[in-house]
Amino acid sequence: MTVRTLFLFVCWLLSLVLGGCASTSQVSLTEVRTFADASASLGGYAELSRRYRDTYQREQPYLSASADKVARATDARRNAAYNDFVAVQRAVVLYMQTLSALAGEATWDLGPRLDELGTGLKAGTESGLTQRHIAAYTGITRLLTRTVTSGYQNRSVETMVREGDADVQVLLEAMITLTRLYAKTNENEKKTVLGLFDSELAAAPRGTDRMLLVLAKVHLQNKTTEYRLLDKRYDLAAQGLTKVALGHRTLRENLHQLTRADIRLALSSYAQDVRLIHAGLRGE
Amino acid sequence: MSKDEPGLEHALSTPAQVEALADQLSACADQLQARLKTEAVAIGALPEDSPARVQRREAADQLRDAEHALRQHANSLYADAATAIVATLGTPQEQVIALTRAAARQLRRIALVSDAAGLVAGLLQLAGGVASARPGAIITALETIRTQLKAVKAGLPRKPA
Repeated sequence: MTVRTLFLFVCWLLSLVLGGCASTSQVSLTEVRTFADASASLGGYAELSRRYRDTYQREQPYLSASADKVARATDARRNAAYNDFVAVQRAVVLYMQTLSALAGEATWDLGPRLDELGTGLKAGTESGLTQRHIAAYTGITRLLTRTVTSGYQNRSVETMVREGDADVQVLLEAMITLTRLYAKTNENEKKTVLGLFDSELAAAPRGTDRMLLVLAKVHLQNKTTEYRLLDKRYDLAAQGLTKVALGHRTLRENLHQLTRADIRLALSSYAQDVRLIHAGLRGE
Repeated sequence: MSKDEPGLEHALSTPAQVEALADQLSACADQLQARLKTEAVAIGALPEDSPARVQRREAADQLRDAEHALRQHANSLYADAATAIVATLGTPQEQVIALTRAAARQLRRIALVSDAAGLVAGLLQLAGGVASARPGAIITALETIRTQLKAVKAGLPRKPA
């Protein structure tokens, strides 16, 4: 190798090292922080999980005896799984909050929140999630524990994202799948309730009490509106989760160029989308 | 329909397959509901206390109960998919889906609502067999559905009384 080649090689090597340093310790990654903050605050999933859990309470008055028997059995299973369903979200939220702290310059005490994750997910029983989900959940818990115990000093955004992305994606995918199953269950609930009133009203004989007819029509109207508003929430929640997944993938694919203008723009854009969806869910 | 046939995925061996069957049962319930709505309108137009009205009312009510049961079985399967409960059955997935899809089509088009009872019973048998993970019951149910589909097709068109 000539002296000139060696010199160029050393220059190139130095630029990598210095470039790497510059993107973490000296520059505050504003867009990473705003994306992580928005992701941590995304709503919808928790409320829809509660709604899913309470399905039987709402639909019970409308069910025939044979349908009721099946419904009760399903109700028990939904209730048993509920804690695991919300634990998944807690893990993702805590991850995003930690990422935000790393991307800013503050540190904060993760300890107490970590304890909430500590109990872990139920493994392999009829109330649990798949082994894959449990492994991802455990992975995130361990990553966050490492971050805390190292006192944040040696943890960079890059390390966090690189080590956490695979597990975060698995957990987000679980939430998206569950939101879809919640929506489909809601569809059957809606059609049971609305269908009953719709056909009873159509079959009502001419002599039916006028008051009864009016009450039934009003109830049908109210319920129809209620379900229409709810349908939107399932959509919004799923969209929001998808944006978070896409944004984190962008982070993972651009770890060495997080300060590049187009990457920062992409992250800002995802943060904005997630914030808008959150606002939509709050009814703004 | 042997378990050893290559390339045939065994039914309900993944959460996605479980969800797909739940979608089919929901679709059958939807088609049944649509048909029952038409029937309800027809019943509403009949003279009060006429025997036809009473009879058709009873048949429709029974089928509506069955529709609710189908939806509950579907929701039960969605819960299975959510918690990744799978039980591999001997029957290939496509067969199950194809039959339930054909059932949904027939339910919508059936002339005499009471003729749907046999087909709906077959669907409920299928759902029950799946819920208790009994491959034998499922195979029997699929046979019932096949037979009922042929009978329904042969019976078309028939006008209500």
